[in-house]
Amino acid sequence: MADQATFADQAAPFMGPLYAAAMRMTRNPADAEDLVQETFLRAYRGFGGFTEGTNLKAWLYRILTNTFINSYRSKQRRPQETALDEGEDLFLFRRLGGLEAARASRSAEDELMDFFTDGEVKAAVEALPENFRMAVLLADVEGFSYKEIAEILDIPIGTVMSRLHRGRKALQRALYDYASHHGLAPDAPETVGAAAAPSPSSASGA
Amino acid sequence: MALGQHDDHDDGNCDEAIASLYTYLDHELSADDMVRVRTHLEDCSPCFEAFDFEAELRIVVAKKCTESMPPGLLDRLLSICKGEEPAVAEHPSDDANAAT
Repeated sequence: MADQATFADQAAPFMGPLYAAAMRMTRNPADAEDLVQETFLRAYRGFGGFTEGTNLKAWLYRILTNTFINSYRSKQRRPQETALDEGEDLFLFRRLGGLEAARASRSAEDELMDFFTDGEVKAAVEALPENFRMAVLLADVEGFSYKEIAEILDIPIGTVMSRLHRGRKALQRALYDYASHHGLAPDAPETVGAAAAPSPSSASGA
Repeated sequence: MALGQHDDHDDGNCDEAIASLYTYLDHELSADDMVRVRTHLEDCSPCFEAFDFEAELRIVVAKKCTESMPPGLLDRLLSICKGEEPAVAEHPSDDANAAT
């Protein structure tokens, strides 16, 4: 049985990241604060049930996502899971990858970091339908494994993989829109391989 | 150079590698599949560039989705985590006279 007295020390490193995740989920600073406070309150109260030495980070994120789903999610009784198109592989690479390679003087990572503002990336993530957004946050921002995400969201691993696939593709399409506004995108995608690229998907279903 | 079109490579290898892209970057491939993909990337620079781009994009997304905590929140969270009854959080937006 975990010792509540140690909870503050153990939980402290996760406060910032949980707040950031709460921001992407609620899209609203006041709700994000409420969500993260409620999360820690529940976590503190339930800490006796946590098995020391197991995955505290995943445990905390599970409380966060459950609290979000139960309290802050869209007020619809059954939020509809917007179907996302399958989407094209390597969507952004086929359109921006060549530009990046051409700017040889700076490191490639600097380039991509400069393509989008923080606000644009956040907005692109927030535009994802909630189920996809949560999977992408847990994988790409927090680095959880498929198994951990499955446990956090209480869904099968296959569903995790499917949401990640579709969510990431939708994210790339949203980012491409921002790149286009900066005039960074060429008109047509780079020549692709033998398999013709599918026609551009409709806008992401957010 | 177009992906999937190489004189000395089977297009199937590129398609296979690209199909495994996310699972590879997520470190969720079996050891054998990992080796297979890695070997292909060593031989195929267009695929290598694509994988490299996707890996960098992931880093960019993670970095740009960080937040600094609003003032006071950290203290409130620490109070909660020590079992102190938290004061009801007052949001600047609730206060008609709030600055900014």
